[in-house]
Amino acid sequence: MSGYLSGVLVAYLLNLIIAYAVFLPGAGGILNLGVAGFVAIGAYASAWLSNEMEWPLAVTILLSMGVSALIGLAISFPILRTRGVYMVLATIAFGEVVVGLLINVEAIGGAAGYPVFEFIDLPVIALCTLAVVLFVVWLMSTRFGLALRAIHDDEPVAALFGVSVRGVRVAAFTIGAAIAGLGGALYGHHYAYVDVIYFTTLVSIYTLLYVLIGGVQTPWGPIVGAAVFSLLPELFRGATEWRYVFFAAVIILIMAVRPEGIITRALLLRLKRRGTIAAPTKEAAQ
Amino acid sequence: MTKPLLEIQNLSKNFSGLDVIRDVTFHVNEGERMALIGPNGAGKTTMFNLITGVYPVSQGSIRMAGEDITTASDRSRAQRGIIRTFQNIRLMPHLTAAENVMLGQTCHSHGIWSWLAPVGLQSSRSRKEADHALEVSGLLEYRDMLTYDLPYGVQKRIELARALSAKPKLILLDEPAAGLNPSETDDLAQQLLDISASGVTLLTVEHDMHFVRRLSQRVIVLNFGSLIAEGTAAEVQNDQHVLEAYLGSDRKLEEEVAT
Amino acid sequence: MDVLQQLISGLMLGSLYALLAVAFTLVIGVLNFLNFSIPGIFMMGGMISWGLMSQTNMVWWLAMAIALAACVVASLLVERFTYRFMKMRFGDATEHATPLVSSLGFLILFQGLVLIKWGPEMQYFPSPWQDPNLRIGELVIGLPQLASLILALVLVGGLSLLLARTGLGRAIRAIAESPDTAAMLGIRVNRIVPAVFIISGLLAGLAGVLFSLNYLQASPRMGDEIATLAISAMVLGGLGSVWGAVIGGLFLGLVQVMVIQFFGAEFLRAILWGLLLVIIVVRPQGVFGGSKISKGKF
Ligand SMILES: Nc1ncnc2c1ncn2[C@@H]1O[C@H](COP(=O)(O)OP(=O)(O)OP(=O)(O)O)[C@@H](O)[C@H]1O
Ligand SMILES: [Mg+2]
Repeated sequence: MSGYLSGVLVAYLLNLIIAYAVFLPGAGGILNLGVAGFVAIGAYASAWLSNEMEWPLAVTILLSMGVSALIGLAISFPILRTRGVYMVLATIAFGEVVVGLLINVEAIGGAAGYPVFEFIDLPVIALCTLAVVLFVVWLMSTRFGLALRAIHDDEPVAALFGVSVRGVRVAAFTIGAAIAGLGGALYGHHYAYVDVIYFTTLVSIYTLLYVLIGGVQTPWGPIVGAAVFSLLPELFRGATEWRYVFFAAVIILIMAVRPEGIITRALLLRLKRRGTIAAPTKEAAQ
Repeated sequence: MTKPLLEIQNLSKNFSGLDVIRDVTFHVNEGERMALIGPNGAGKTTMFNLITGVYPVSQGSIRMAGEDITTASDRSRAQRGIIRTFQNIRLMPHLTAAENVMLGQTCHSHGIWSWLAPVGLQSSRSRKEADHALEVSGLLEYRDMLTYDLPYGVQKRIELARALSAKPKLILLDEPAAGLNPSETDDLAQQLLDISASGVTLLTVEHDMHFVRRLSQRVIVLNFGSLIAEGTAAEVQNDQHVLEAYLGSDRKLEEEVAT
Repeated sequence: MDVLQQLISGLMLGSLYALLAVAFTLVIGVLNFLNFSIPGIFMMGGMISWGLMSQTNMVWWLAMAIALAACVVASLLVERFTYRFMKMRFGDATEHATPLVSSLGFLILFQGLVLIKWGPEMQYFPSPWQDPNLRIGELVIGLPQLASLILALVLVGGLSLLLARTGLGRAIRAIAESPDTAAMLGIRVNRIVPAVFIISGLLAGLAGVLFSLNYLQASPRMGDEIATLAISAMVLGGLGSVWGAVIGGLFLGLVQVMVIQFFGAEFLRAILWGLLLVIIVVRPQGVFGGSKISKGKF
């Protein structure tokens, strides 16, 4: 595989992992615009553990996911009290606070950034992504996933049928934080360097953007959304100057035509129905 | 022999100064079919909201099967068997009919494994139960469809199927016959009688007095948040207070214009 | 004397935040929609007036007028593709997300177009005045800064009069209360909402022009940093509250200058956003706002 291709692929896979971190709470109607904060926590925690402790990489990564999850759990209680625009702002504020604090910790390089000595390459990242995709697909097919989608649609009614709304929302947010931590750990180890400028609010905003473009109704949405975001600008690479304009136009058009995202539940059901109806007619024709 | 299942004691509710329920006391016996009627805005839906825990009560108490549930969580009320339908359909638009019905089972999920076992698979128990529930209600053809484009009558039946799948002891039905045509209404009444025969207690809010007479053994009447009458359908219909409540104001007229 | 000088520059800086915060808060108050394209419109105000002045030698006032007109057109374009599509089939949680994403698309679009035309460099913004400073004793007051402070106060005063007294204002407030009820009362929502975007675009563009005048610079990214501060100002003032946004903006300008003076710039971000997080969670109605969540309150 050429260096260019594997570079694009790694970027896509890392974006996809972070997309699932946003998707999971998003599926329950929680807009997380602070995901870059969790990615930063995962990246810095794993970088520090990896450099200072020199434990096996798997342990380092799991621990940094744990750190991210714990912070996610703690912050989810105040953040989930807010709604709508307030939640958008609260999560932005969280991400900014994380970055604002990390930049002042000299032990991890402060504003100068922090090198990471262990290296993780494409195969491991691909495996981790696959694991995340399978995990989220499975999670969404469980009763937990059903409850999460029900909360997205109608929270009070979900509660009346026995969904512990707060528990489910906190769990979704926390698991999302853990996944973001994984993304951060892989990121730091692949690029061998972590720096707060990689984890700005703009990153969170872009992530939410492509998750919503993909659609939060099914776990397949992020795969498409992250592809639109990571691969589309590459297609326009020839027109370097215009690529962001094209990209923006595509975003605006997609949201105008498919405001609930590209992959919706209705779309999948329609495809499935067409599949089952089409199959017998084909046989009959033969 | 007749044990009270749901007991409402001196219940009051006010919304920022407005008294919507005023010192109401009544009970529903186990296995009974009871109706709650009253003019528009009398507080019937609010009463359901208090019983199911949507709003906290301002004063008074609610007991279910002898236990105080006045401040219990929504989930614990559902687990005790209090389940409802809604005046304005509240199905989950992005879930299929089968998934909506499966949502009804949620109050009986205990322990981490029941939350983490896939429910979507064709072979899962939840899914089979939901399919069965849909089949019994004659809704199997809608199983894998999202509910928002389905006909109104079908949506109402899915709501009822969802409520039943929670294995309720007491179903609160908020205007189940509203918007249905006569033959649908007839089917519904029959279905509700069957449900009652299987031992489920019914508390129904309904404006259609035909339906109330056919369905209910006992009727209570709310007006401006107060309980003004109690008895059989025939008794309350001839009650002076009730007649005044409906006729004294022009609300009866309004209602007929509205329908 | 030094403190007084700091105080003055804080207030001046704050008036820019205030203008931009009002642009944000208006759209949030009326439509409950965080319009991410506003920093882009702000940037266009500065960049277009710079482009016209330096590349076509246009007189400054005409250049700025044309730039503002472009901002208004841009804002209306955003309205077309965001608010119009907000009328989703379900009033669920996605409701807030869709216009958010489209407005972000517009931010990328506006920045992309300006980048193509003028490149990413920071540009020197020519000052229309010889010595743009007013000196009172040892105090130095920038004329553009003074102008922005006065303009901000006058404009916002006019805006609140408009909202309180005119038919348009009443219609806007009715929509803020509930678009459906407003429509039922015969208010033509689709006619009034563009007015909100016109005002908001105008304020954002003007803030951009004034920013460039103050700092004698313009760049395609000039909106990014200041937008986060304007959003903070809005939160401090309580979402949807016009005067809250003004007070929040002025206050933030002061705080920023003071924090930099006494603690150094590196802690500014953590302190500021930490404060905001606490406010949003504990007092979502804002510090200067009333006791009600201010959607629909001006
Ligand atoms: N959340 C609330 N806040 C304030 N007032 C409320 C609220 N819910 C209900 N009310 C008021 O309480 C009164 C009773 O409403 P409720 O919906 O219980 O009436 P209802 O008997 O169900 O009427 P209908 O037959 O029209 O369904 C009404 O005046 C209504 O405006
Ligand atoms: Mg009602």
